Amino acid sequence: MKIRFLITITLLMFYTIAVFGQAKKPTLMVVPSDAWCKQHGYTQNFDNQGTTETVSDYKAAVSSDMQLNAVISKINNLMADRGFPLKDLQQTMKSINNDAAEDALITSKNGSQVAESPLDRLRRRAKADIILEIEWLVNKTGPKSSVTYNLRGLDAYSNKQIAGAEGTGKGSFSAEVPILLEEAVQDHMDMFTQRLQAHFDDMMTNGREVTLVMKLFDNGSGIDFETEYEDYELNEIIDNWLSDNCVNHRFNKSDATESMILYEQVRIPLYKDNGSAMDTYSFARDIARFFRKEPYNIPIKTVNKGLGKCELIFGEK
Amino acid sequence: MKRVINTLIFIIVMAVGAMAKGGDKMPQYDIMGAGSGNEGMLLVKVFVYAKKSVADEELKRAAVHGVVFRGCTGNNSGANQPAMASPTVETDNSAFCEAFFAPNGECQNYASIISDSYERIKTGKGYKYGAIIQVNKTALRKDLEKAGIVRSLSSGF
Repeated sequence: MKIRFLITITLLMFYTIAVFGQAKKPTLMVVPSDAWCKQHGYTQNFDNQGTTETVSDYKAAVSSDMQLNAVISKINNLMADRGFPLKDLQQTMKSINNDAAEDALITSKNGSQVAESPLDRLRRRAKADIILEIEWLVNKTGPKSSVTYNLRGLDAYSNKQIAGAEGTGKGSFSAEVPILLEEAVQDHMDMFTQRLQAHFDDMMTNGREVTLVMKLFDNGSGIDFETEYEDYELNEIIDNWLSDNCVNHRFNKSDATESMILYEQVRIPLYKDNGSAMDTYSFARDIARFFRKEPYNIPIKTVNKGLGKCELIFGEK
Repeated sequence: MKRVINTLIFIIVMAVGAMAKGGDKMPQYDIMGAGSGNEGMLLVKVFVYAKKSVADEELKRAAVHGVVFRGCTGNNSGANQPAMASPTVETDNSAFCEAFFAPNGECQNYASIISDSYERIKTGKGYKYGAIIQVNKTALRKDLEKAGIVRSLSSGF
């Protein structure tokens, strides 16, 4: 009886480790680069307080460019073969539109509508933790065609290029451009995934690199990041907390004023103390809980901006 | 007298054993890209150095070994083909690798020789025999991931 009980407990422990002992998987999405969109005319102009700005129109690009869709599909297939299926840009954009339309029609039995703040509406956009930015150029020398191909993996939070593969093919007199492009995509993928793997290995060893932005609510409470608690300014106390809780005490205070602090390259652990996966929001909530207690008594609003970025606004919820 | 005969027999058996093991050793080879294959396939050109002729199996095992542990350059699209695993993995998993890359090992299942692509070049000490070989890199990677030789991109997540 005792042995059976011990075996059951052991199996349960293994199961718990297997379920919780996995880091949160970043989402990846392929998008065309701004230069490619501009070259092919997939852009939109808008008036930003008197200045005309040009932005890439992904919706127009994916709904009308067959070659782009073929490239995205090929990359999606190759990444799925490697056990890392990607978010599809076209499907994500459709889903955003459908969700917005459905939310507008949902009402409760008492006639209440789904709550949505202006911030919710602004943030309803296609996003991923890692952007795979793609561009290519067809080169023609007489009858000879070649393809210059560039695939970049960009971390959406640190804005760092974490992987890349680029090059120009030898070219061909007979092969058609779609064939050359297909060759370029599949031949460059292994080098790209190898660099991506190196990034993941670094993350597993040194923690996830994230960004924390700290701000203040302008509510007249008199608290700012220079407010002193037992000879230490609030920003120094935050530094100390981060030093104690980051992997190998690694973080970088990139910018700081009395009303704002920007922490970049903050290396957070991949797992919480109980073994479940940690993300930036959970880490930020730990900071918020620390400052909610004596002697600080500061309420903090934590705004989740994805797997690798969080904003903490001191002073109110 | 009997002891001498026994000793001689023992030495001969040991020598034959050592020679047989030496025959399983990966031959000296060069590998380079030979164009782009179909999806999941890789075309490589392999040259194996030998004094006499080289069997197809030797070319195929060298090709698969090269794709896994060396990588190659020279594809049409200008891309480098990186190695799937570092050479230290081979020494750390020597038992598996010796069986897998044996002349009649499992590695033969992932390679096929493109017909009419054979070459023979005279070198200082013998010849180098070459051929273009198609390697099924997707199946190879998947099976080596299962065996724990190659790491999966999603490992740890």
